[in-house]
Amino acid sequence: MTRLASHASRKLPKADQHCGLTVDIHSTQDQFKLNVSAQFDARRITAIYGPSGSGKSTLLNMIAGFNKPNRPSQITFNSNQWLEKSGVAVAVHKRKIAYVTQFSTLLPHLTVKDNFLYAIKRAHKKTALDAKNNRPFAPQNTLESIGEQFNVSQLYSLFPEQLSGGEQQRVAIGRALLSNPELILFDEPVSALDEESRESTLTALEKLHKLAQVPCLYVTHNIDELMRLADDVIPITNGHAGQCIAVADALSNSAFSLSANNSTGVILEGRVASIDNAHGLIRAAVGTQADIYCSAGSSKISQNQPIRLRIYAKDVSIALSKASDSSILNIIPATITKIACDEKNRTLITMQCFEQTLLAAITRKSLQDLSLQEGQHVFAQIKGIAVLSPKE
Amino acid sequence: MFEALSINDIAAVWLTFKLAMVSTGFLMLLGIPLAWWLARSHHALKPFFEALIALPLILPPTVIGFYLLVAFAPDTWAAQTWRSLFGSNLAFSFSGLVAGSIIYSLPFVVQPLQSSYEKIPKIMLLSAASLGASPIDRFFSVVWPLSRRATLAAAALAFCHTAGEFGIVLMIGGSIPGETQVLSIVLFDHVESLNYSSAHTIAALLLLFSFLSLIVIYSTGFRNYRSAASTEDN
Repeated sequence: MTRLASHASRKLPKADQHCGLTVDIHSTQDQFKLNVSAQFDARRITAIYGPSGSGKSTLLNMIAGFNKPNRPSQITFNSNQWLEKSGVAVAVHKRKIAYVTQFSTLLPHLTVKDNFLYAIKRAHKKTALDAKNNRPFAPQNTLESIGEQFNVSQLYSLFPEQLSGGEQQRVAIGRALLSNPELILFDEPVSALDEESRESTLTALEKLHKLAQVPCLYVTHNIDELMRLADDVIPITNGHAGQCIAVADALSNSAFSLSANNSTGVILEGRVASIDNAHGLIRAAVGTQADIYCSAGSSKISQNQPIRLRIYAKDVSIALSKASDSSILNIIPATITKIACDEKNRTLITMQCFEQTLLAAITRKSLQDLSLQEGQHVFAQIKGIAVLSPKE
Repeated sequence: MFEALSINDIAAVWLTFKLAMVSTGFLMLLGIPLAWWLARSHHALKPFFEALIALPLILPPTVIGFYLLVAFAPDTWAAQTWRSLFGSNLAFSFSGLVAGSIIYSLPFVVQPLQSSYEKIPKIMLLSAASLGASPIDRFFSVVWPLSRRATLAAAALAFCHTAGEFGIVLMIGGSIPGETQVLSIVLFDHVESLNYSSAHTIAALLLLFSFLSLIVIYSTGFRNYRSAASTEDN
């Protein structure tokens, strides 16, 4: 069993020896072999990244206890042995996990609120089992806080089938947090969603660091999700897991064979602040203060209407000062949170601006010339913005 | 053409109702866990049990009745165990009728329930487990509410099917008034003794009851029991 190194890209406390998840899983099914040995640190989001059929969901299901490896394996979580080599396993409902998948798992006969209460009620029971460990039940999240954070409190009286795909997923994530888990497992939670729902769900997921002080495993094959959500990443191909490394180092790591492409980018949510008919422009407010100009196009847009702006990483450049003599309309302050280079010397910069994420693709030379660093305040110059089909 | 029900006929109505109620109760207690096991199991013997449960659908009731009669004979272990427990005979008794009805109506309970349970996505139950729901908790908080219609349909079918049975009752019950003489037997006796006007009353009664029951079953969604899990009303 190898202990894998992982270095912090965010300043989070280092996990102590007994904190975290250690897996040593071996399973063979119809020619497919899964062999994974890894340690996942507490309080971090670790992506399990690989192409479909690589075994990443199988791995997650085994950690959850949904499936059992058919060869001697071990899973240890916070000094609890969930699976012993002998095959003795802790039942799913006794593992303190939460599980979110692309398929709807909300209980169809319960309203949104009752789905939340379902989790809260059982979280109390789970913790009651723990009373002898002297761990008081002190949930970080409440029904009210989750409703507000994930923007679902207005949906409380609705049933799951009355919700959009994105709303369903936000409720599912909220419910997962309300069950007061010690480990959260995500199995491609946004892969079945349309672009709009996907974005609102990702925005909700970005709050995980704040709302869940527990380790998260996030299965995905999408580079945008990786860059936006994960701290660490473990590549998995043909059932074999590679080393767990920080996401910032992942693009340049040949084990991932991934790189920023032309469709890498983000979507910002905002609303129409004013319409400049003379120039055919919309002034959009994103977050609290910022103004972003974009072409009105042909779609009918009205004042105060919510809109969504698609910004590709290749259309964003970075400047250290705000140029006043540029043809670029949108020059906005941002803070660099992550820098990653791929093998072809292309660099992907992750930035925070107006409480949302922005990606910029620049060259490695620019990175060096400007000596950009994580945490640095810069100006993002946005050259192209597409207004997505306006929300009703 | 119709003649009012005699005291004997009224006793048969009450007995038929009692038999159907008691049998339905036992059928639900037995059928629900059995259907749940069949819906979840990958056991090698599953097809064997499914076939065994479905047998009454195609076997002539007299065949089942004949074997039950043989099994209820006073010198068999089944009859002796029963006698030592309850001090009575199974053959030609109300208890014997209940036992026969349970076997005869079991597929009508197990099949709609199993079909409904199989429609519940496995991932939904696993997700409930991850939220901390134990297997029994999962059954009552997820499976039971999602299969409510199928449960209703199964109970109604069990009741009606038991109320209408004839072949088995004839074989193992005989025609003891107040003990084993149910409506279908009374009808048969009336026809045998050429008492057609009384026969008309009882036949019409059974026909009306069956038809009304089916209307009730269909209107509570039996037709849709296959999709009970996905079209649960709000």
